[in-house]
Amino acid sequence: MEKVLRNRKAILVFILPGLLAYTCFVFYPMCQSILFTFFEGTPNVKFDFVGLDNYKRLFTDKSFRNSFLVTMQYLLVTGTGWIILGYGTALLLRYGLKAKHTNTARTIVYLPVVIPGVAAAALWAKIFEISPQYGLLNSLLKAIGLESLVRPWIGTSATAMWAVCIAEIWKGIGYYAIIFYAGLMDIPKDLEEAASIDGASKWQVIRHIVFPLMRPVFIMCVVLAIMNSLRVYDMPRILTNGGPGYATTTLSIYMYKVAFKQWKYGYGSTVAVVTLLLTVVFTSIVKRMDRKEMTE
Amino acid sequence: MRKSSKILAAALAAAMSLSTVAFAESDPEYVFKVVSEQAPEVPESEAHIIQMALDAYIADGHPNFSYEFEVCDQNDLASRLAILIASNDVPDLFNYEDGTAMDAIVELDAVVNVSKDFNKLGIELTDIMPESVIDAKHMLSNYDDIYSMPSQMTTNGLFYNKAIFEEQGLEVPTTWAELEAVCDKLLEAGIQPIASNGADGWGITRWIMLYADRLAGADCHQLASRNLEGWSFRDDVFLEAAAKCQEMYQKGYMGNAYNAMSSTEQYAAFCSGQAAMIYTGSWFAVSLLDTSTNPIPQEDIGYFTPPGIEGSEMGLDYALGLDDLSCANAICIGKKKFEEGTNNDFLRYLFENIGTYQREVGLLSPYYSEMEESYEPVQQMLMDHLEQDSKYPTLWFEAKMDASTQDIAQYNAQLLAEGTMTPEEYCEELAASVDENYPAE
Amino acid sequence: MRWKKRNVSGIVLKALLICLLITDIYPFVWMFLSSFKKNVEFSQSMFALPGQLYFQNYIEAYRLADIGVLFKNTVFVTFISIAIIWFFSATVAFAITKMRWRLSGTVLTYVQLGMFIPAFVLLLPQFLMLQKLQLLNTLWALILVFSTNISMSVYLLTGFYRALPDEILEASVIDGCSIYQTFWRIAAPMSINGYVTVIMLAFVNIWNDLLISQTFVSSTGKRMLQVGLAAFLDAKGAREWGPTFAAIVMSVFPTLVIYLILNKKIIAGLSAGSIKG
Repeated sequence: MEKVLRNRKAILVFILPGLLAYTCFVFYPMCQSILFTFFEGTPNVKFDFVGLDNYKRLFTDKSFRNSFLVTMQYLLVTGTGWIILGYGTALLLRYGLKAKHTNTARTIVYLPVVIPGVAAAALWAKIFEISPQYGLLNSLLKAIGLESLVRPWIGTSATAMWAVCIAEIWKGIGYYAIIFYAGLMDIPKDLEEAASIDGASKWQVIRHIVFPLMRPVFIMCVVLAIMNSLRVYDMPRILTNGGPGYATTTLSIYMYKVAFKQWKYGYGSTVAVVTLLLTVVFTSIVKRMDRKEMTE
Repeated sequence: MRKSSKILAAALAAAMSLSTVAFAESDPEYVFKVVSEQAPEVPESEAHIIQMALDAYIADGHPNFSYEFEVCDQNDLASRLAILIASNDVPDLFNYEDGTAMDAIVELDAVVNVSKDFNKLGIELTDIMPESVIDAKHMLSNYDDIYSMPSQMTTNGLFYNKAIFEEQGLEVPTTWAELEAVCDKLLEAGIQPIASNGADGWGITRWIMLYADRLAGADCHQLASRNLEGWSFRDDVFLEAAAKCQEMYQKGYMGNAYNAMSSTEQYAAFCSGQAAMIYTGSWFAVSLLDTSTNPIPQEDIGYFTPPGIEGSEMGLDYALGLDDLSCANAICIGKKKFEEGTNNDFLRYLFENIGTYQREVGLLSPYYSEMEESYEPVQQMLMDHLEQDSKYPTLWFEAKMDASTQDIAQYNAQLLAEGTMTPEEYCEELAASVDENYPAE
Repeated sequence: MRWKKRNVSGIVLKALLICLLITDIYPFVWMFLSSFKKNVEFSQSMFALPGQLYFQNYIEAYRLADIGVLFKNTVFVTFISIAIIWFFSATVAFAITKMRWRLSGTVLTYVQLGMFIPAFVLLLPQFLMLQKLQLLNTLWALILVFSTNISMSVYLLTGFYRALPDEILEASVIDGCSIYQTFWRIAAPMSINGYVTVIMLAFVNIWNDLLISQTFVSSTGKRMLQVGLAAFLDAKGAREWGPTFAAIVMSVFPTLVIYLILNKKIIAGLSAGSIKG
């Protein structure tokens, strides 16, 4: 038995094709990108070694600082939105509905996830529109007599960030809801039943039995939310293109601009590497906190 | 004035030599690649003109010649080209933003030096376009030579809806104060005075430039963009201009949706009668001619240059002669393919005939053509303006700024317009960015 | 008292859920209805129903955006990539979870690293590489890039395999099956739900991708669906809303259908894969 499972040749047969492909087309290019951060210019044409200059620049660059803050805000708002609403939706699906309806409801909840970013952004642009015609939101406000609230939602720096976040949350809720829901389905029925017989209310069951058991799923969703909100690109790019001003310029948009509009490929790669580092740092903090609490 | 007969002869000669070549030997297979911002289906686009020429060329005895268009959104154009240049795969022709933005591409040695090498096609620049156009290109270039071909003849100004002006009893303003008075009256009547494409950023910065140029002369913003001759964006001229721009947006002259408005929506706002005026370039004429999107009859559309400021140093007459030549679009020729030579025959055909094709679709062309001029009223109005009034050509606000300063200028302009940034902050950030790239002497 | 309280909170919860479902589905309904509107109708109320079913929008969009070609390319690339992704991730994850070797943990971390990398960080290096391989502007370039992006799939499948009881595999080995037979005849058939989940996620990713497909392929005849859609939006989007909505509906349709068919298996797969991972 042991011998079969330790068969070196078989392990290699299983692991090599995938690993080689991954190494050549994902890992190696990533290393190249990191190498690019020590250069400036355009690869293959005029690419000069500049040492750590690109990293030093991060500290004096006002636009970088600004997009860093925007990204943090984005992370906080959309990340929290995804987790709370996703978790809430999953709970509603699991405990708030008759079994025959859950399938339909679940399908509807997941719909926004499967549509392309381009289509979703085009859709939300129409929803927030104010001119030449009122879009869905402004029409609605007008219809219910709140015309004073009608405004260019994505054209004002005060609301643009929120508008983009709402669109992003809308598109993402289903993804997290389904993962949470899948987790809830895995909680043994008899545990809940036993608790209800003991006289616990539904809410008490959820709080004292479900929440603790859902912990690993929760942590996984937080990690996924961090990763996804740090790399977000489509929605702010198509809805606002980073504006007005720099109100919705996330790190990903800033990196794209630096690398391709200002032709500073090395500096752009540096901003990208910072995003990568942020993701790694945040996710490992979450995982470490989790481990610490578990042992306590 | 136009050297029609001479051009006609040259074109005939060229056509004859082309056809002899074509029949003497069959061409090698060649795929001509174009990267452009707009799809060839868009009638006012450069791509459309180039495609017309390509179709005609292929039909005219070059069956082995074929073409491919790649359409790139304006925001992705630079990234696409960066990748193509890095991989040594620059297309035969492409659009790019003219002015300082071009420098990156010139530095990478990716495009043909038109001043030096264009004549390798067997024609001279002066054969196909007037000296004034070549001068304008020199003004745009930061080098001694020019590195791209012009795309369209442009002028920028205010189009206005004559019917609305008449209804409200308004006259074309002759001073800036009158312009503001007109706007106030329109606002009172519940009409948006001016349609503005603030989403593009330049739709807002133009107003800073217009005001500053009328205060201190056509080249002040260009000099300030490079810290030259003691000019800086910290100067009072720009503070005053930025404050005026902010005031106009804050008063609601440009409606309230400006920051979310792209140029297409801006056009729609004017054509639907929602706004009484629109500040844009002469390419707008093509949209105005399209009766499916523009219900306003041509004779109801007027055009004027934003007027001067009474009591300013430059005076009112000076402003009338100011001509904002802002057309940020250049046609670039890929260097490597040009030097290989297979596409040269077509390029000559293209540039000898581009003027004709442009006139056919209704664009104002900087190129000569043997075609009789026959303009629609709206175009004639612009043509007249170009021929009579323009004495002091000038470039758009960001033309001489480096890429990061340009970004700052346009992004902060949205904040300036909506009032979340003061004119002082705006000018200071702009000047600081210029200092970083062009330290003051 | 308690009974009443429960009932009220139940109603509030239901109302919440219904609100949520409406916000999820209404934009789709709106989009679908709008795709049947004539251009003039767009200047009227946003909520109005279309005056008639104007199918011309679909015909127009199909013709103008060349949707037939776009579909053909996208289906070709998506299906081949998915098959390769399945093969790579099913085997790698199996060796990591079910076989015993020292570096398995390290290899898992190494592969998972890919999940952290934003796609556009890799664009230029990948472009230079594809150029050397002379694959640029071919659909194979896309297949290569898509099918090597296996981090998420491996991650999910390791979770899924862990849920498979070891005893079953052991029994099969004791019965004299080789490790390959065990994988193919025992592990794989038991992991269908997991595979479906991975395949569906990969499908959505590839079908909806814009960045990669517009970077590595340039000619019109080899365009992928989203690139074609974006170009269509650029050219017609602002003027002709009817055909634009029709084009969006057509591009979303296949994903929706596949999702609706596989819906149950995906939930089952996600639940096994995520929780034990």
